[in-house]
Amino acid sequence: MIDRPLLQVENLCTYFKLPKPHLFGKAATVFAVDDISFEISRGQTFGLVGESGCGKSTTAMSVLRLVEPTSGSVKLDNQDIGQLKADELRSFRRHMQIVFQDPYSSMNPRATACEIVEAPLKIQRVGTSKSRRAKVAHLFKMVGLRPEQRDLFPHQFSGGQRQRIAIARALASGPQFIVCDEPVSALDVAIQAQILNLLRRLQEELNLTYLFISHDMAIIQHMCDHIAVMYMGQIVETADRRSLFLNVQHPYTKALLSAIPTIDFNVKPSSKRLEGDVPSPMDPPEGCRFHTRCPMTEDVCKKEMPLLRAVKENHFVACHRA
Amino acid sequence: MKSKETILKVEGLCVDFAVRKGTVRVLNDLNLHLERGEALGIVGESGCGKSMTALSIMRLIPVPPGNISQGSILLDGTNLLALKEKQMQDIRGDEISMIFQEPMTSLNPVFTVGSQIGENIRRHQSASKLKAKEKAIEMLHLVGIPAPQQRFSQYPHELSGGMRQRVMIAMALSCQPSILIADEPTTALDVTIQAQIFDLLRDIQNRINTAIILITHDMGVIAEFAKRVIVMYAGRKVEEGPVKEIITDPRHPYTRGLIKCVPFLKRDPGTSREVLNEIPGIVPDLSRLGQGCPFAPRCNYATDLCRTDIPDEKTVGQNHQVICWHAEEIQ
Repeated sequence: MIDRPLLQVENLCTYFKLPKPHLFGKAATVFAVDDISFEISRGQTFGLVGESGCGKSTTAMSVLRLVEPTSGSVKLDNQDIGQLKADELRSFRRHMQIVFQDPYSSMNPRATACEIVEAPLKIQRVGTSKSRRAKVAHLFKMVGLRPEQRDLFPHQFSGGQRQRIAIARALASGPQFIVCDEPVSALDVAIQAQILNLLRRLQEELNLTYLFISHDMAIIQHMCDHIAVMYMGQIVETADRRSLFLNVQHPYTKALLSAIPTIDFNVKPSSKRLEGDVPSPMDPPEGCRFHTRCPMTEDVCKKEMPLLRAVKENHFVACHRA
Repeated sequence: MKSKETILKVEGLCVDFAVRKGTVRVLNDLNLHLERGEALGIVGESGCGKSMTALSIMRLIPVPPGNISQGSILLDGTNLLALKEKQMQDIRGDEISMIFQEPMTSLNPVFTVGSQIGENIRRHQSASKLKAKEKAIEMLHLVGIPAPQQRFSQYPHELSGGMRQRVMIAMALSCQPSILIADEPTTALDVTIQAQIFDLLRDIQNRINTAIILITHDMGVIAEFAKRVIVMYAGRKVEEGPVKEIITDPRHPYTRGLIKCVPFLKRDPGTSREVLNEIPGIVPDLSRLGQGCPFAPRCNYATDLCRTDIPDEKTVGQNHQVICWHAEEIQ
């Protein structure tokens, strides 16, 4: 049986026009997300990994239409999200939710935990106030919060507990699809494990589909079934988890992996380092965007932009030299 | 074999902070020593006292509300705690330097990076303006900043995060200090830039034989950079020893938990989904610590003794100490 993917993203582009520097100046454009496509099957976790500014969060925001994409299409359960009108979109949002990196800044500091979790239900006009309360109590239990914590305010919780509230809020409307945008980056390592395990458990219980965003390759490897590596708004390599790590193809992915500190003393630290910084996204380099830092650059890399091509089943790479 | 010479010795250090309900002890009976040219790591979660340790050594704890209530900090035999502020200013930036997590907030936005590096050189080496400029450009070159002549007259906002941290390092090392304290120096940076910064620190350490105290929450960073590590929890040291031994054979339940709860990159991740080990509960509120071992409420090995008495320091291997009543049981 072939299952249609729950989420289909095709040729998604999101550009931001910056204001003109002066009256006669030319407005610069940031190519935040530049022609990316991917699919996520139901119940799976798809990981986006890359350095800051590579466009992973903009991708997430565009998928949810929290940022209006410039072009391309996003389909959730075969419904084209880009075609929805404002009120339709609002009601459709019950199927797709997001958990942000910093749980404190993504919550109303004057609302109690209970009100925060109940908010999506109220907005979607689900049930009566009594049934909503019962639902909130159930959600609290699911994410491991105690019932007596319902009337506390966000600042009275620890970071990990706040993230639990954020997860409860995301689950409230019963979504099939949740974007996790760096959900553990602001937490201490011991708390990270608790939250990652919770996300995993909820996925199994509720058959959730995740788009999981992180800069941390080890967390991505732990959490995701499929992974896409992004660089300057584009996917440079994508594969299922095992194939990606066993068979790294793109020089950027290689560099990312070798730069990660490890506690495994059998792995020799690689001496090859990427030089320089990421170029400005307002003025991306011609040809392959990675060629300015790539150790394998040839003439063709400076002229032609490489397209994603299959190197194995389910393993695609955008590189002339791979 | 390099000669082992202790340049810094911290003994029985206690730091209190006044809060509304009384005082909170943020550092409790801390002992540590540092040898010349050594790379020492301090690891722990937020609130464990690792940054407080650094600030105490620099004597940068705000007094009040803070107060170094007990202990001594000996730099080459001189007790820093007995020095006047003026004398301490001669030591800061000259003998001991520090780099911080967020380079943008530690650099002054209205002065050029060159003048900020030069300021330190002029303060400590009474060099002329021209001399200081020469030296500052030399430092920029040393930390791998391309076109140092031009960078000298640029402002912090014109540089990328990695470049700013390089400037901080150039400033910290401009007087060739014997100790460099790096407090989460790469936490705000991307991994590829982090790798560049650690390469730089390693290189400079070899060149000018500076001892480095690296403070981080990331055991991976410790494994790559430090030779010896101190693990801290709730203001106390819980384990200390050679990095390799601590990571392969941790003897404190907290250290064990800290290592096991983080996913580490595998070459072959396989297809199965694993569950991470959790340390149950959260870090304790320092104002509500009970008697005994601060880790006892979260510890699987805890017994009645742990809840009433602070464990003694035990030696379990060469230079490997652990502060736990049950260290022998944990293999």
